[in-house]
Amino acid sequence: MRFGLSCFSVLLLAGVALAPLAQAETPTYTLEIKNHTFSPETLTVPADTPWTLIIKNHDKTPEEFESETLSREKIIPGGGQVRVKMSALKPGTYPFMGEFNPDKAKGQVVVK
Amino acid sequence: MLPVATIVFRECLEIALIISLVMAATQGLEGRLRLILSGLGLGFLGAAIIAFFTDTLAASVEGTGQDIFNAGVLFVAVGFLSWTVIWMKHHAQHLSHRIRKVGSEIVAGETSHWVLVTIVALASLREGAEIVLFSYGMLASGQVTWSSIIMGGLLGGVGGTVVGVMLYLGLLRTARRHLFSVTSWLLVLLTAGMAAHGASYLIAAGVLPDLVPQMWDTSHIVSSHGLLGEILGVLIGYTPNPSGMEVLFYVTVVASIALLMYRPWEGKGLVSKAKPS
Repeated sequence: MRFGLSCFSVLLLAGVALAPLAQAETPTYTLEIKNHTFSPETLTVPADTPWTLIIKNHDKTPEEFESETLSREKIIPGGGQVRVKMSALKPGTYPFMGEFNPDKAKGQVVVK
Repeated sequence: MLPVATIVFRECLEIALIISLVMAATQGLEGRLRLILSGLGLGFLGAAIIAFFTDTLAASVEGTGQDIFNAGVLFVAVGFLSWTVIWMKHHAQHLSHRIRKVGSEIVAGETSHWVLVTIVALASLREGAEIVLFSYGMLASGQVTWSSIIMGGLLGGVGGTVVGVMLYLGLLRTARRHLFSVTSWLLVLLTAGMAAHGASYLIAAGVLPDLVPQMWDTSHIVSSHGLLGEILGVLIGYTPNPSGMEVLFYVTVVASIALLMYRPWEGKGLVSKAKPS
């Protein structure tokens, strides 16, 4: 286990060292949650570029942003704001939803 | 009521699957049911505390605190699980060489009890917090009533537990002869999956680079939202579209545990030298 743990530590340290590079100048897009719906419902982002998603929840209740195709899931507390680092994506449509209100909270990321 | 049942089912399934595997791996450990229940109790207590502090947690580290926390919980669990699997491997060999007990069931007779408690507590911590948060949200927004939360929770909880118990009984039945090696390998894959999941949290937090955004995509074959995808997700860490970093973590953990289980540098035929504990 010691070996495994040291592998983790090396990976973690490498990651922490690389993080500022990865975060440098990534375009940022914002999603807002109001009344259990996302706005905008369609977010257009450039292809092959890492980007950062900020989600603001204006409702009093928590929501969970979830997308299988974007492979991200993230809880946003009521009245809270979170930041998610997104990978560089190929052109296409990537649906997402709010897992706590799956009927109303739906949207998509369109990559062009 | 149905969304409550679905969410609780999903989270309970994860906890139940992990517990079933740990139960199968610790056949013969005295008082393990009590240990597992203590772990569950501690986990849910922790979950309630975390749910209470979600706002603070989520807002910390520029809105990435929750991901970093989740990754931390997963990595600690990975450490404990790896330790357990490696320790059991050597202990089992020692036992079968010395005592020649019929049936390899008595495997982890003396495994440190608190390790078991910790594993179960960590497994139920994240999932429990999600259940609490979700139920609170549903109640606060007036979308559901207490009674439907309780009904949905019971339905989902029972459903998740039934699947877990089926896995446990299935394991005991089909793999009786190889119970030990089958369950320890399942635990290795589960552990590797947890490590990869932890890595994905750190990627979302921007702490780790993804290396390759997407190694492959099998979401059209097995979706992570279906029952099969959910079960595979917990058991072997299945993700339809993993990044390069997640695959790297997975492979590294499987390789490290396998190395420490078999210790090729100790030479063949020397396994009986495994230290008595």
